[in-house]
Amino acid sequence: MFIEYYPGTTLIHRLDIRTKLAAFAALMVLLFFFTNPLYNLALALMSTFLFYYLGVPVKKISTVLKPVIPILFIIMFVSAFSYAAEKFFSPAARIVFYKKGWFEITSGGFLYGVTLALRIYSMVILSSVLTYSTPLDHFVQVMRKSRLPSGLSFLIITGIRFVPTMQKKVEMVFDAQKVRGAHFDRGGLFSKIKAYIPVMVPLLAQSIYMSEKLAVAMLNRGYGAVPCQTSLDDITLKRRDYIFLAIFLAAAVMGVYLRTQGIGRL
Amino acid sequence: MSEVIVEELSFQYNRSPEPNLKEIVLEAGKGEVIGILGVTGAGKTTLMRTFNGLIPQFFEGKISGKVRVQDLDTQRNRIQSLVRRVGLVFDDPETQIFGVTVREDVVFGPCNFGLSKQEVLTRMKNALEMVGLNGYEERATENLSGGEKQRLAIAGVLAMGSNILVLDEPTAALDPLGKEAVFHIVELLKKRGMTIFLVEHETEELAARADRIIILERGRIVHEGPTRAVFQELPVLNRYHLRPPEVVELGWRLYEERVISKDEIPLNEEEGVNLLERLLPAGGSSFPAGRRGGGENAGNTESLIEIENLSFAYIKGQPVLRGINLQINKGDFLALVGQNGAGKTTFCKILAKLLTANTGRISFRGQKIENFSHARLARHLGYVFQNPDHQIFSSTLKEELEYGLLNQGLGVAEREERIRKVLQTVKLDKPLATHPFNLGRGERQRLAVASVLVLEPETLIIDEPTTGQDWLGTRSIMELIRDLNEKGHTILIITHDMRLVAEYCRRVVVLNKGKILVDETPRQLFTKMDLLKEAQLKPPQVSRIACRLSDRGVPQDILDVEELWTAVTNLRKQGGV
Repeated sequence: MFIEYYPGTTLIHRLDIRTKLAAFAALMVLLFFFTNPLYNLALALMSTFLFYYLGVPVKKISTVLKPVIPILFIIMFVSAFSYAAEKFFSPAARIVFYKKGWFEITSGGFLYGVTLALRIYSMVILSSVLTYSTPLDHFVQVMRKSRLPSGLSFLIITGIRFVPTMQKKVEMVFDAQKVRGAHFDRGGLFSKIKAYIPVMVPLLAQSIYMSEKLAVAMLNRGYGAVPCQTSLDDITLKRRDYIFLAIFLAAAVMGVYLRTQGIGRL
Repeated sequence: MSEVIVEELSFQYNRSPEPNLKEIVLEAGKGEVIGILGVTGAGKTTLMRTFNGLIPQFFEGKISGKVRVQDLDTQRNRIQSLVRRVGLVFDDPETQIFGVTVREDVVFGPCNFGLSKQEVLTRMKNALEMVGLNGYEERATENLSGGEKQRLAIAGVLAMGSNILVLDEPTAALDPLGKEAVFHIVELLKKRGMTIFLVEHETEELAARADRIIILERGRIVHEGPTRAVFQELPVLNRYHLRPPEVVELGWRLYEERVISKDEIPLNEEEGVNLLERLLPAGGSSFPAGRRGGGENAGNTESLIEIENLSFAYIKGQPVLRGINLQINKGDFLALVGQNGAGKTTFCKILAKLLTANTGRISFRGQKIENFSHARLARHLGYVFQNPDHQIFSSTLKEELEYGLLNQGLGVAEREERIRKVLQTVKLDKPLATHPFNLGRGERQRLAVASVLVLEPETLIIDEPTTGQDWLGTRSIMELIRDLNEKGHTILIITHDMRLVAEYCRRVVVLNKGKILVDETPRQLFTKMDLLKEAQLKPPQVSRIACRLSDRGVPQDILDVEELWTAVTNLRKQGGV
């Protein structure tokens, strides 16, 4: 499942979700401030370390990363001949490996490609760190604290809960039509759309049917009995949260300062 | 004081052409377990919905009369306050669970009432303990089995603190193990003094647990009384199309022959064994029931499907099927049985080319499965899924049946001829322009069978054709399948119902942990108690009773009431009784 909590007692687990969100935002900003791959490499290493520190099995992340790896290489490759040497400031980035007419392969383009790849890698890792270390309930609480109506957060949670259920339904309907000889990848766009009707109709009917059952089940559990529901894990900012908030704020400010000084660019 | 009082209640849903409940009068005392019986559409669910105000507050309609729950009028109090007194559990475990984890789900109810954190956690702990799910708190609800999900649903309503529990076909979608766990919980809660309404088609289980039985028909209470009195009246059960426990059928025949009095008719296995031990002289002996023939494979060996060394795993290192070898012959009526997770559905999906085996070979009449497209395979193998609503998509009967034929590229004349024929075969006597959703559940299932059958497959796989159906529906679909088998189709059904296996099938393959445990006739299988135990299967009631009476000379290979009856009469004659 795409949002999966991995229970643990590390410092990251214990930090308040708001601190983690702020840190996440600060790191994202830093990732996008620097074009020099060295800076991004440092951030990527740091993200990797954070993930390692959580103690989540590497297998879990490799299933997410594997499909991304070819994309990373394509980006590096495409980027290598996408930028002219004049676009870069540092001499190391202005080396031209090959040039024919408007087409040129530059060291800067390649290095920028590496930066892009590192950014994507770090983003994947960092968002995993966030979701693996934070129970879903805490996200709901943030939604509540930010004065989102409780109905909306309930909607989001229920949506997430029913993704696998719906996936199973989709599979069952596909199977049922396949054994009747359905072709889903034949002909032009129009016939393809038409081919999906036998799947869409039962699924729609099923979801309407399910939604009524769900409404009944909600009432049956007293949904809406009192305006203010009990929240089990009240999230509170502790001293460590303030410390880390300060650190990441400082890092972000530092990033802004370095950027204005032209440091970290290619 | 009565917990639930229903006074002259009538109700009609807004869109219903006729009243769904008529003049219901009912009273339930504290700690009573009341079994509710009736065919589909008799009004059982409708009646249960009135207990917590879902009717008329959510499902609107014309209502008269009154329902009072612990002195609260269900028309005057909000559903949300009534559910603290009455908890409803429905048949579909999937749509009652809201939490991503078990913990989140159980606390959902108590949190909605704004109880203190301490109180919520205590209630969660108690509720999980009562259904035997303690220790599951952090598990993802998605990964629970059907039976565990249903237990979680029960915990969810128990956590709200209600003293009245309404279980509406709670085991309809479960396998035997799951069913047993739910009934076990019912017993525990009964001991704790909860008032329980149990809507069930499993009469064997009701007979063993309910204090009182109410039979509904067309919205009316047509019969009620103490469980023993109701079940000892076989004609009543038959009149309302309820499946009598086998032991009751046997007892009734003994009563008709004036061997026993009416109140001696046994209600469960234990009583049946005791009665027969009393009636049969010690030391008798008789020939095996199988000697009389019937119930065996005809010995036809024209091979249609050959499966060699088939293995499959969804996740590497966790095999679901391990080295399956099987030959399916022309004319077979084969039951594939085993607990959920044994690999039955996976096996069938591989046959239908919906999954690809990791190793092994499958061939249809000597041709490898790899050479078939789905459209071509459909002539060899048809697959009818459990829920007809997962495949019906057209706005007329004709279009629905035509879909597969069009995929095979058949011409107009051929298509019309086949549709005409198939509707006759499945006895679906409706105009071709009928909208499928205007058909009843049983008719939609016939349509689903027809839409596969119209492709004229040699072999038909039917996945749990009777799950969640009443006795009428069960019998009618099984008769249809038997018909098809007699017309030359080879049949493979997946089922949990051993009584149907005994009655209809000629060959049974037991899957256990991805391996074939046995492949033989039902008659042979049901004598092997330790094997059945290993596969966690429960043979039909009469077979169980026969196996416990070997010292009285009762043959061990009894398949149905008729056979046990014959054996009992012969043994009594022998002994000069």
